[in-house]
Amino acid sequence: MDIWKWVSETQAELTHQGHHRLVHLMEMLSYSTVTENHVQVDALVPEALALARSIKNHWIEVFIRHWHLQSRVLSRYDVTDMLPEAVSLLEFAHRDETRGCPQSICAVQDLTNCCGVADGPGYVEERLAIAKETLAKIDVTWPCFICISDEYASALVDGKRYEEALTFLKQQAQALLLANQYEAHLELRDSEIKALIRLQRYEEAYAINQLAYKRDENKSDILRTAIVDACITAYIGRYEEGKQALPDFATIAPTPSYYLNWAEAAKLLAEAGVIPNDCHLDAQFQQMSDKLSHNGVVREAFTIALWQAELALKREQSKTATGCCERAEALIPRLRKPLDAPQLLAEMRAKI
Amino acid sequence: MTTTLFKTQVNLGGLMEVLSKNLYSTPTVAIRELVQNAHDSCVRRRIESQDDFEPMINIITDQTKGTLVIEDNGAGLTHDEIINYLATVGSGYTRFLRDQQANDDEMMIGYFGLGFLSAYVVSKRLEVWTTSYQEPENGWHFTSNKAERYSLEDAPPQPTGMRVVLHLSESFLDLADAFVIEHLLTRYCSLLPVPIYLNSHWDEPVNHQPPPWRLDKATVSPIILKKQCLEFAKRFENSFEPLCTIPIAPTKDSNAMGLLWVQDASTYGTSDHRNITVFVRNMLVSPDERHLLPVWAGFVGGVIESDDLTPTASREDVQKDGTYEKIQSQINEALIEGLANIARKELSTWRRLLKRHNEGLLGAALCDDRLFKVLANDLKVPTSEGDLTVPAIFERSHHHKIYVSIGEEGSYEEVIFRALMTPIVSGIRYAALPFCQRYTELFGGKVIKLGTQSGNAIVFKREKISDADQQKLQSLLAQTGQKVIPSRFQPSHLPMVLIPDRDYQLKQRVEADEVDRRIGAAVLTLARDYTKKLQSEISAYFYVNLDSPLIQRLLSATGETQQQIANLLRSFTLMMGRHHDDKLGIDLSEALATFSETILQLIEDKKV
Repeated sequence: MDIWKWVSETQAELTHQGHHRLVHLMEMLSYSTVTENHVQVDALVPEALALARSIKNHWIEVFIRHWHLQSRVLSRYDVTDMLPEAVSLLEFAHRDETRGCPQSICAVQDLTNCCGVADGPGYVEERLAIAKETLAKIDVTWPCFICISDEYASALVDGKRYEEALTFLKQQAQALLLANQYEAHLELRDSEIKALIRLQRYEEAYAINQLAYKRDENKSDILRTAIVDACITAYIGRYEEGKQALPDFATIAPTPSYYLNWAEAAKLLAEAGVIPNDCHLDAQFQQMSDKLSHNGVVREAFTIALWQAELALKREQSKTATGCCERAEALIPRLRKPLDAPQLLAEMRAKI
Repeated sequence: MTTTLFKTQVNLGGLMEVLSKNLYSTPTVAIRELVQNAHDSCVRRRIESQDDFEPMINIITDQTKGTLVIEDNGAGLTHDEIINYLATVGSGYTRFLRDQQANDDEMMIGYFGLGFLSAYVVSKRLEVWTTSYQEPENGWHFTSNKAERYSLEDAPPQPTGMRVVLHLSESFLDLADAFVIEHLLTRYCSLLPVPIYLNSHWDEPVNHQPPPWRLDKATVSPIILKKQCLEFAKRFENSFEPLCTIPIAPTKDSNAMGLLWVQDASTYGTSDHRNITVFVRNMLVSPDERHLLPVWAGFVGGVIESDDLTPTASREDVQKDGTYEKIQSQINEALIEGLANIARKELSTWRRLLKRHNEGLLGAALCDDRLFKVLANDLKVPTSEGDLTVPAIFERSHHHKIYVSIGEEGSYEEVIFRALMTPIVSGIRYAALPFCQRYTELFGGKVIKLGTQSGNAIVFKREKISDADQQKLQSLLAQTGQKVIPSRFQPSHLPMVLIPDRDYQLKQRVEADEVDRRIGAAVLTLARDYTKKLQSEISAYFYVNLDSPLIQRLLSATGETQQQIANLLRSFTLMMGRHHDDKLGIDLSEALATFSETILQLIEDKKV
């Protein structure tokens, strides 16, 4: 099923019926989401939704609510506010009148994303089960094939099943090759690079990221690739290169989905003495952790709080490190599954 | 094993076909390319010859013959130069000369040696007559039907320079029309310093008007400058009249200069009519580099020139590099500062601008706080009492509150505020809600979203009453799963309102057995994980207004009268709320029946 074919046909029909404004808003919504113009998304969603409801077109309502969630959850990591909406959309998108909508399947993904963003490792089994269930319903010709494959691989990585993730991604890349969509496999690169980094296969990760660099067009992809580049080159020990690649904090500050990778790269560079490990960096880590915690992105908030503690210890500021541990501890009950969090916290406290 | 090296073979015919047809997006680019060649030739003569001459380009159109002539009094070409440069694709003398030149005072435009190719796209035959300043005694005549083959012969010496004659092919005869060519020249070549004459009887060059940013501000009065800016903008704005202009001055990070303008046409919030024409080295490279403008500026057009931008091979686009990003940021700053200046200094223009672009500016303001502060008190948001500014809303509501409706029109809360003549912002209209939220974040005040739990808590102020009264109201008005909340609100003649609990509704829907067959098991587990945590046992709330005389009467009444008042109140509230949901215990037809029966009973009682 080609979702965009459905969108295009629906828009033609709406135009024919005189609903030009709704057509325009639908276009602007998906475009503004992928170009990360989230202010525009927030400005237009209520109107688009009201128009869709006024003509009682439930499929378009699914489309609008799904794209709104894409913007709020995938880019802005706003789980706290959007989890009820994700549950509500899932139910709405599976009623008799909506389940035929090609975008209904995305509502499944929206809820899974919410949980994955809230606590990736804590939801591994559920995410794998959902992705598997969904992959069984679609084939490589669906645009969702990429998203759901990525979700499956990402869950494997969160479950520390790195080799399995790489094998899975290789299979999916082959499927794309056979479907004449080989180029699209680069969209699955995030999980592949993460798995390779965790396996310390940095040079391979670097090579894939470089390929992505050449292909990236929109600003958000370029930024994401640059952050990953900074991280990989820091792991390789090419610290100056890493420093050059790392975007300013101000650039990533509005988009919490960049925080974890940025913090990882910044920590490596600060530990190597390439960027200053000072009170400014401390404040940035605190800001990221607090924002993620506020947004319900608990696992990443926990991880960054512990990294902040580690950096504070390097500066011999044990009081700050203790404060970070306290914040991290308060996050543990909010995790879906604590897993190794208590142990990591204990290890950090032992160092203080 | 032996290795043999071969030279790559080029199918020149095929390559020419591809290049000439695909390199440029529009055949009219040929005019730009040939005028640019003529310009560079004039510059070359000035650099190399030390001749005392007045550079000049003449364009001659002849519709009868179907020809377009471009002639210049530049350096001309020798026999060898014709072969090496004019007839060799990808080899341009300009690039060679630029590489030799240490300083950049003499601005050369060409780069790739591909420009002459464009002439073949629009011509069935091409002729060039030329005499080089190096050999004024020789003249040459070059002819080619297709770029693959050409002939070159002696010709009587001409005045120094070059004359290119395009015998236009059928499809491009319009290029022999003076009106069309004038239009193209004023756009493509308006920044070129060499005067360009169109059909020699015209007494002033088509590019006589320099761009406004090149004018000496000390010698031009502000009124004249303003007029010239608007005229210049009009030339480049395709669809709209310019309403006002904003200059772009160089900064420490960028040497770009230019002019922006606000379009004089009503736009809606998401309209995107952005356009920026980009000149590099005096030549128009891209007529639509809209991404140089911020995304919120859907009502802005502009022209910039920057020699730091790098054109692509077709020279119809520029590379999106670091320079591009710096210019984006420069334009963003210039636009915000320019709008702030208009707001401060040109009040009538500002009013017109607000009237035209109120919707777009609501969205724009949200993208930048500096812009927000400029616009905050002037923009209007749609309300139940007409379009109003936020200060006007504050004046008409109480305690710096902005009530925003985010659901369907006609909700209970809306009815209340309409009755009180308090404006309610229509939150479903473009940017209205985020604008109000940002306003209160920056300047104080509170946004109250009607129909939400937090909004209800503010609108319906809870009041403690005796347990006995609470019990009485609960048993008289509510059904199982519904809850009465004693409160006070305006207007006092509204006795009570019914608000269904959304969490309860969601929980019921997600946890219903029949959902199992509609939603996959794995994802349903996640959804139910969430709804299990919802504590909602109450399906709907009755906010009972203790200030209402009817409620007061209800509390003091006894027996049958009390039951009759309760029946009427409950039916009236259900009908007014227009909710019908069996799962919430709300049955509209039952309410109507009760209402009708109770009225009849009261009438009967009165008779008695």
